[in-house]
Amino acid sequence: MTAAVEIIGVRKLFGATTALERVDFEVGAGEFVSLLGASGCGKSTLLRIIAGFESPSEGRVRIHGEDVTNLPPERRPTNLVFQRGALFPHMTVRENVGYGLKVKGWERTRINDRVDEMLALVRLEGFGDREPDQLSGGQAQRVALARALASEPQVLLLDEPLSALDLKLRQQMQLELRAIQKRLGATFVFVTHDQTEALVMSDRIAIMNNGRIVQHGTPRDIYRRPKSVFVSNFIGATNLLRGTVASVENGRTFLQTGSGTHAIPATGSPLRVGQLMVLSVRPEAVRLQGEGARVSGLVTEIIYQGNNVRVGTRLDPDTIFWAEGRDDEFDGIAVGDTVALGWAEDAATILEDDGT
Amino acid sequence: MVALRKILPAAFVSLVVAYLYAPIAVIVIFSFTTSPRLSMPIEGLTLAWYANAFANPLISTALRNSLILAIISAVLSGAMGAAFAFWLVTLKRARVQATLLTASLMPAIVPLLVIGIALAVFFRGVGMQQGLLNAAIGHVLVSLPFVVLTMNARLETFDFSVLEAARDLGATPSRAFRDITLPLIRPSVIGAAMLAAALSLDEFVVTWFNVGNQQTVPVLVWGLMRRGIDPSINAIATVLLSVLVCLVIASNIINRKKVK
Amino acid sequence: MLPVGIFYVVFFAIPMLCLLVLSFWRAKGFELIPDFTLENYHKIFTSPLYRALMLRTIGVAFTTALIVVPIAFAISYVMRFVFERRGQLILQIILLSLFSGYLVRIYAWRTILGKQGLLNSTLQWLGIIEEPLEFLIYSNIAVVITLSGLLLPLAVLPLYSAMLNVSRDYIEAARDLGAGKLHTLRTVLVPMVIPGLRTAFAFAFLLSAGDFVTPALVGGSQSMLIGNIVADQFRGIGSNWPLGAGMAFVVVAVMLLAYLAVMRLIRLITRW
Repeated sequence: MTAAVEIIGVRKLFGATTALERVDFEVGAGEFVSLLGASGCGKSTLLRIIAGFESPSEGRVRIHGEDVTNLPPERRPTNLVFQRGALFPHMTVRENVGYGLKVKGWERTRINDRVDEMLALVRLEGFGDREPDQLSGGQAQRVALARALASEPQVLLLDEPLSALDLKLRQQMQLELRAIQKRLGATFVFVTHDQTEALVMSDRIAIMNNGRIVQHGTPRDIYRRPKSVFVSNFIGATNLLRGTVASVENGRTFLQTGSGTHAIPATGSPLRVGQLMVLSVRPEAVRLQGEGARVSGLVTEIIYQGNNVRVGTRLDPDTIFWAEGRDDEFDGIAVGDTVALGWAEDAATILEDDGT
Repeated sequence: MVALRKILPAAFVSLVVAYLYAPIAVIVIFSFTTSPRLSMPIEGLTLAWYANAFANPLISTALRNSLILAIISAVLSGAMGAAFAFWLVTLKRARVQATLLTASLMPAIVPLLVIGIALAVFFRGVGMQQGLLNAAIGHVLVSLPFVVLTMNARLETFDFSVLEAARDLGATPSRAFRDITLPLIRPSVIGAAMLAAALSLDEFVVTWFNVGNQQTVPVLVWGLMRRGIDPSINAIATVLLSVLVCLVIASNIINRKKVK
Repeated sequence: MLPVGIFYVVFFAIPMLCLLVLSFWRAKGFELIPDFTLENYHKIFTSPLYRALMLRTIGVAFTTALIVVPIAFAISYVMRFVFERRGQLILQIILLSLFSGYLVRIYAWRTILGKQGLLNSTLQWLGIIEEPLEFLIYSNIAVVITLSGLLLPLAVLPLYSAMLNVSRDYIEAARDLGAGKLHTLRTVLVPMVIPGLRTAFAFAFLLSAGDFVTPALVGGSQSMLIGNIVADQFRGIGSNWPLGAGMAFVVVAVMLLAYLAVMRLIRLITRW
């Protein structure tokens, strides 16, 4: 896989504050990559550096091998879909979509053909003569997408383009965007703060925190094997048990926690005995268990979610342990009951305690 | 019940509006009545005062000068104020922005009398004879704050991401300005310029200290007023006020068209 | 940015500075003699005439503000909370009156309040009075009435915009918690619109103190204000520019001090 975007040692300072600290990252050609993080983590800054609206304080940006660090946005082979569309309000949909081509000096008939093609792609045939303020939010974002794709950018950048839409529309647009990307085989870099959105759409997710990419990988990788407490908390819900390493044997780590000693498959660098670590296990991996149970406690909360039920169990005064499963799995359990809980050994991950 | 609850407030509003507009109504009505004295009852109607007013040899010079000043104010204040306001909203630091905005409003806060005499002193110091040019500079100075203020209010809703979008789609900064910025802010600039023209047409104090022996409509009206009651003042005033009101209403309507 | 900056420096900041420098010069006939003398200021502060004019100016400006600000507050309240959306239209109507000719409006009040003016002749015609009411014109009353009409729209603008930012919910919450109408007004609404009140007062007070056209047209010799004297020093017979410059600065300084004192007072009052 050749690299479509290469970010090499990029730092960005705004006055005294550091927005990005030495980020190194690559996006492959034809890949759909999401930059995921909370607001202020630097994801939008990184995107704007790729687009050319911000210049990095240090480092280089390459697109398909060409160094674009010093090029203004109009000379980069990237196009951006803005958060709120940023459609030109004094132009029709057709003029909006064709604007980039007109600037490039295309002939009118050629522009028209291309615009039709683009409107068909985003399923807005017949909307060409509308004004932007006659469009719904979802339609406006589709026009913005068509406009950005019209000049066939080598990389399409999307800055939270769905965040202003309501949930139903957002879910539908996620699938559409994904389908369009696959059909065109284009490279998409997508910025979002919504973990579900990132999981649904991406080939690869890069999670950002405090101006760094803290982990990247396929959605499945990231969900199953978070490398830090931050990531495991950020992607989905998780149960955390802090403890010290009691022993390491046969590829298993034994962690001594307040609720007993648990075995975890060893991964990554070897651990020392006595090291402070955290066990992470997803609620849906936790089951009611008679024999071979690992922890037990008093049920304090039962939350009915329709298809699922979440049960909170107090292990010790500071720890609520969550289990999630189908409704019937927890039949007959009531608040105040004592329950025993277990999980498959390889469902647990051992993480460094990063204090989050 | 709802209507009853609003009767008292409505009466109050009407009273205040009457207080503000009574003088204007009086001027307009008495510009058409036969009696040279402004008193009741009204005896008859005539257009004689208009004929009388425009027979005044000074009026055509005054009108011409006022028009020149208004056009200069509209163009210079409009262009400078718009550019300044636009530059102001692109500033990233909110505090610098607020400080500069306040500073640019200073000429509206200092009494016109003080501005008028300060300019007179300055022009005398640099050896510039009093005249229309001096007055024009004064007009630009006193109308600039209002242009900046109205432009600033309009630009606060301006979405700068459309400019980035244009750049992103391949437009150079100057092309983006021509294709996007200019068409979008043009109505506001025209509206603000018309406001500047209206302020200039009505400006008396600063003009009076700087215009020397030249006439403008307000200076002429002032001269007539000092001489006593002359119904042709009503006629000139009615014309002036119709022009002003038209300008301001037109400026408002143009401005109302959203800076999308 | 640059053109406006240069324009302001050259035609606003430097002229102000010139005016200040000039106030320390001397005049000999129509000639201006460079000097550094406090003679002008000495004259201003020792002359009983100037002192009387200054006090009268403060009195008239303060009375005008006391009339204008409460009316502006009341009408803004009505526009915001009774007429709600139609308040915008009322605002436009009120502001439009600003553009009906500054001189014209002052002159119109002379024709209304004059001895044989509209008001007197109407009252006589109706038989309510026999002799014209002479105090209506060429008096402080005439000056205050006229100035109030001129400045009311300017005072409405900041107060109405301040009230636009006050959500109806606050008022209703206060009422819901059992506060009476007046109590709500004093403890909830007034504190929330203090900046608007301050601006409204500044407009009414400072601008009426700086006006010389109104007293010249509707005020008599007994209701001249300090602005008339300043103007005379620049365009009258026997003018004295340095003296006028000194007066202008004294007026501005005194008015600013008076304004700050009033603001201080308002803050003390709203405390309790």
